[in-house]
This record gives sequence, structure tokens and C-alpha cells, in this order.
Amino acid sequence: MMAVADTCFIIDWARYTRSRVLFQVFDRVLVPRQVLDEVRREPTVAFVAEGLARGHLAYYEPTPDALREADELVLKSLSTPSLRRVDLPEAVCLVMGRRLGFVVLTENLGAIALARSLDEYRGVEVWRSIDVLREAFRRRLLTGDPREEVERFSRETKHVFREEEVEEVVRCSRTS
Amino acid sequence: MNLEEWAREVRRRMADWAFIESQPPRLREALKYLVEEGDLYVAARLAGLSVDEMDELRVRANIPIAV
Repeated sequence: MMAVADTCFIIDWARYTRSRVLFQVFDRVLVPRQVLDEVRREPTVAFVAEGLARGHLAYYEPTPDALREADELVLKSLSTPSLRRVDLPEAVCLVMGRRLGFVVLTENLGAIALARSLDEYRGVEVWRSIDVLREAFRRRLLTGDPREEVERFSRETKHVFREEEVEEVVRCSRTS
Repeated sequence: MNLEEWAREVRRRMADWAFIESQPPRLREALKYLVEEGDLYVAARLAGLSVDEMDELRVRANIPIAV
């Protein structure tokens, strides 16, 4: 399974002590240039550099055509009152997700809503960190107390998940 | 309460307002925008930082990503 990750997602997983599970859930995670451009801090750069060196991450330079489509997506999000804005890095990820059939990894509510709202993007799978943790428990890549693991992730990355989302991780860990 | 309203309420409640108010004006306003909108990219542009640097400020200000 392949994925493409946006900036916030990469930054958060660089903070998580069990980040290696991301590369067990996915064979490879693409990092577009627009995402890498926003990475500046040493720990995040180290995470990305190690991931690239090991082949878990792959750098991708979007074509002008893909960038044009991403820009159109940004403008559509800005000009449609019912949509929440998306910015270029997330839009690039959505375009790549649609074109290549990759899972889009993001915590951006705009990107999540847009993929559910626009017909041409409705087939794009958008996963948040909690979805990756759930999948990891489902496939037994993570074991132990799922609540403790979600709590660890939340503490290390400063996330808050809704209780029903945590319950779903617990349920998947039991049925796997 | 929809997802956006819930997320905004969580960010407002958990944010370290003393830390936010102690920041220089540009960073302070960017953090306040982040609390209200949850948009790290635009907050980073307001602050004149990269998203990565803005996220570090977010953590120090105890503003959660609520999804």
C-alpha cells in the first residue's frame, strides 16, 4: 500500500516514538516538494532524511500539470462557501492521491472535507493519524493496550482524538 | 456540535493563553488564528515561519490538533 503525506502529518510522526509502524502499514510514503519545503527543524529533517535513505519515504517533484490541478483545487476550496480552505501542500497530496490511487495522509480538516464533497475526489482515501493507528492494531503491527498507545501518540504529538475514534481503535484491536 | 466546532472548543480550552499573550505581536496573532481556525499553514504564513517551526510553537502553546 502506498501513501502520500502532507506536512503536518510528517511533522507529527517525526515526534512519535513508534513512528516506524507507519512504514509497516505503508510500503512507501511519498513526500512532495511542497511538503518538504515546510520542513525546517532538525528532528523533522532527520526523520525525513532517514526515511528517504531507507526507502520508506520517497521525494516527489510534482509536474507543472499536477501543480496546476492542485492550484485549481485550492481556488475551488476558497471560492466555494461550503468548503473549508485547503492549501497547496495538501492540494498536491489530494491530486497525487487521485491520480495514483495512493492514500492521502493528513490531519487537515479542509482536505478531509474536500475529498468527501467533490465528485472527482470522492474515491480518494484520506487517512488521519488515528486511522493509521487503527490499521496498525488491526494488522497487529501494534500490540498492547490500544488506549495507552493512542494516549502516547496524543501526548507526544499534542493531539486530541474524539472518544468514538479511540473506541474504534480498541474495537479493531479486539477483532484482529 | 459538528467536528469543526468541537475542535475549536478543544483548542480554546487547552491553549496556554499566558504563553500566547507573552509572545511578540506577530506570533501572538498567528497563535490566536490557529486556535480559532486550526489552520497551521496560514498561521505559519502569518507568523513568518515554516509549518514545521509553527508546529513547534503550537506544541509550546499547548494547542492540540483536534481531529
